[in-house]
Amino acid sequence: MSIRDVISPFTAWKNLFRDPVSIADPLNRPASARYRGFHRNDQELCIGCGTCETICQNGAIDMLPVDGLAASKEDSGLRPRIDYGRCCWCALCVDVCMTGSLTMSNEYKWIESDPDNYLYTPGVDKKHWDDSELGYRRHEEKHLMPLVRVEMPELQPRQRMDSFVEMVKGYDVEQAKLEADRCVACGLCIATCPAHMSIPQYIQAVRDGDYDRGVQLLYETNPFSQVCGRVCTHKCEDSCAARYEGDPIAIRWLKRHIIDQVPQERVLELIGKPAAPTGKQIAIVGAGPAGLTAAFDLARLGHAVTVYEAQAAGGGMTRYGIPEYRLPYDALDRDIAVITAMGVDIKYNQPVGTDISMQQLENDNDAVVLTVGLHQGRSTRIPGSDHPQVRKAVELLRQITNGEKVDVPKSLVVIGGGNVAMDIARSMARLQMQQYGQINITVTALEALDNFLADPVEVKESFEEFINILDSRGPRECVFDDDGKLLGLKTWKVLSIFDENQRFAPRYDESDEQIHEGEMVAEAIGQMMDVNLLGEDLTERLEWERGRIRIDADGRTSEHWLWSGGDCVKGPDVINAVADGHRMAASIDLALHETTEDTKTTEQ
Amino acid sequence: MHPVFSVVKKTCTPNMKHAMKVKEDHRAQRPQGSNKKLSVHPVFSVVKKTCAPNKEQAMSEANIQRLKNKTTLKEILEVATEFERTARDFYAALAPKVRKDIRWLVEELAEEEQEHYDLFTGLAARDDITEQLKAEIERPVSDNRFSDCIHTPDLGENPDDQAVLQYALMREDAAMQQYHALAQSTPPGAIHDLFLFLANEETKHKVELEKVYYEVVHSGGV
Repeated sequence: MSIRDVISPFTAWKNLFRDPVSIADPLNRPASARYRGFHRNDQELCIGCGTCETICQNGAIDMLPVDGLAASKEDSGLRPRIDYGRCCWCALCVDVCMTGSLTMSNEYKWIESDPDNYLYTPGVDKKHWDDSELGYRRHEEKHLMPLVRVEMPELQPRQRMDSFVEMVKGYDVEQAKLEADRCVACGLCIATCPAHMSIPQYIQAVRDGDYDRGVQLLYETNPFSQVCGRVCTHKCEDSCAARYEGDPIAIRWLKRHIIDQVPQERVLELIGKPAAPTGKQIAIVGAGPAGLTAAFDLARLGHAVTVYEAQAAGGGMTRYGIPEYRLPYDALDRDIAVITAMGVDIKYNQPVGTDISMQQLENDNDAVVLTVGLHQGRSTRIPGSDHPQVRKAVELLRQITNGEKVDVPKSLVVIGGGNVAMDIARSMARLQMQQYGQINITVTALEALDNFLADPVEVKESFEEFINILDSRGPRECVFDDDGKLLGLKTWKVLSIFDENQRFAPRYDESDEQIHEGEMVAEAIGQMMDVNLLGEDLTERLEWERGRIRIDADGRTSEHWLWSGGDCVKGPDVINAVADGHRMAASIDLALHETTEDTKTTEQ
Repeated sequence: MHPVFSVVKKTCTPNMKHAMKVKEDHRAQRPQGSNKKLSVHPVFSVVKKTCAPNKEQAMSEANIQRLKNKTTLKEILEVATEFERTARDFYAALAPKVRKDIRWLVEELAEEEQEHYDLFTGLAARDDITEQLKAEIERPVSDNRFSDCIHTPDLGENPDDQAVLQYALMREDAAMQQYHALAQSTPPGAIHDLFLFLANEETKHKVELEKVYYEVVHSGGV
């Protein structure tokens, strides 16, 4: 060893007092056009689904809240933050991105003195490469997730036009698993669902073939899965991450698939028995989804529940409004049977307001729930609408459900563009085919086709079933012959219906006047609650809000003993009614416990 | 029970009188916007199988004559204000008689008539009435004619919300037509402008009521 070898380690100390030198751009060499460089995230497209976080093999991505970004039904409000200490720039996150918001620039040089700055939220932390045209993007045709929904087997129009047999056949196990595989479990659907069903979890159960678990998950939030699995408005699918570049997951069909796989007896085993009796008695007016969901929850908590139903069977509008080709009565009966198995006593043909008064219910019960729906149809009250052959669609649908003899006209005009209009048109079309072998039905609506309140699928299927739908027609009067026999409906062309504030402001072209042939006119323009059943006294005591009973967030009215929910206060929607049922049940249970505690305290 | 509407003569409500006219004349003379001229008062006949002729004019000849005989703007506004007060009092008296779930509607109608009353009273107190009228009638409101074929109900003992709205629409439409008719029969000038202004105000009110009617009747009521 020489003297130099001994001294040289100590000469390194001379560098201790020198300033560090970093050369910012030693090479000045651009990367290739598709180089996988630093990330970009288009904030207009990102929905915070977190699929990038899930797929990252290095755990480099965390979904975190961002200041000033609020969550909404279609956006979690979270954004991916990437740890560039972990990232290997494999671009799996870009390949799987459900909206195409995540891409990469071709920038590869980033100099920082603070390593924490490499915890980077692209799109939120502004960088000079944000607007770069070059870099890596997923190839347009390459998607890690299948885009197309597994097709649902259905009866074709010619097969279903003269029959009330259920037209949607349901997925088999293979089809359901393929469809479930498309789900990335982002969970955006949970927030959107009014009942907050555990959707990714029950889709996972389908994927795993674990239907027992699926049923348990369904019944945590929805005792009407047979119904909702067929007719739910599926708002969840409107926020599904898959819908941005393909079809949303068939959440509604997968729910139906689960409940269809499990026999009724097994469903009852999985749900279990109700809690011990509490000694409390609750009356529910109306055996529809809101009332029966509340009944199910309350019965499981141990309360005695009696439901008063005016009709001969339960289900409310799900039975008496929705035709059997969409929701078979036996499917609905299966849902109701599970509810009555919890000890709920349903008294049919017991209309409140006539056979029994609200006053009696108030006197005899610890709480009362009013869930009477919207069973009365509105009328246009145009000239001639008081003729016996001008009928309310909801009344006709009720007659058809009850199996009553219905006067089937050879030609029918329906006024309205909502689901009830489509329901009566398609039901009468089937009856016309059965009786006359041909269909002559015209639907007229004020709204343009794009603005119809009906589900677009209903409108599409109505066209397939040879129903003539005329949009933008305003009803003017019914037309009669000299003997007073109804000939049809006169309409004017509607040029526009809403103003710039989306409020009603129709404009007509009076020169475009048509008469639509009809031996019968069915009005399906709106529905209302039967307020008469409340009685004068209660009607006067209650607080109202523009024609609706005023309720708080839990569904409690201004009368401390009375709750209300479902269609009669919120508008027609089954899953909203189910959600209302849960809220009311929880509120009633809490109120009854508080009352019991107060009583105990007083006695002490 | 919903009131049943039949194509027959209706009973009068206080201060109103029915008149009859042939359908085609009425249609031909119907105002389109505030500047359409009417050669005669719009009156209606109850004719089978027709639309507009089933509507009834809700203004008495006496009231029209009262207005025609006035020669100053303030006098006309006093009469118009009196009409609004009458309407306001009518709805205010009706409110406690209707079922509570629809009382909000009648109370709102009374409030709107009160607003008209205040508007006309305020206008009458201004020195620059003429200029104010000119500014207003330069922006005429279109008559949507939605309520053309809504039957006029007899309110009866227990009207529902739809009946109350139909009744209110009928009143507004009749008032609108009345003022248009008066404008047509008045030579150009300040009084003509005042009648047009009043017609425009009634049209605005009618248009607003038609929006409420759609929300209540055509949208499920919720």
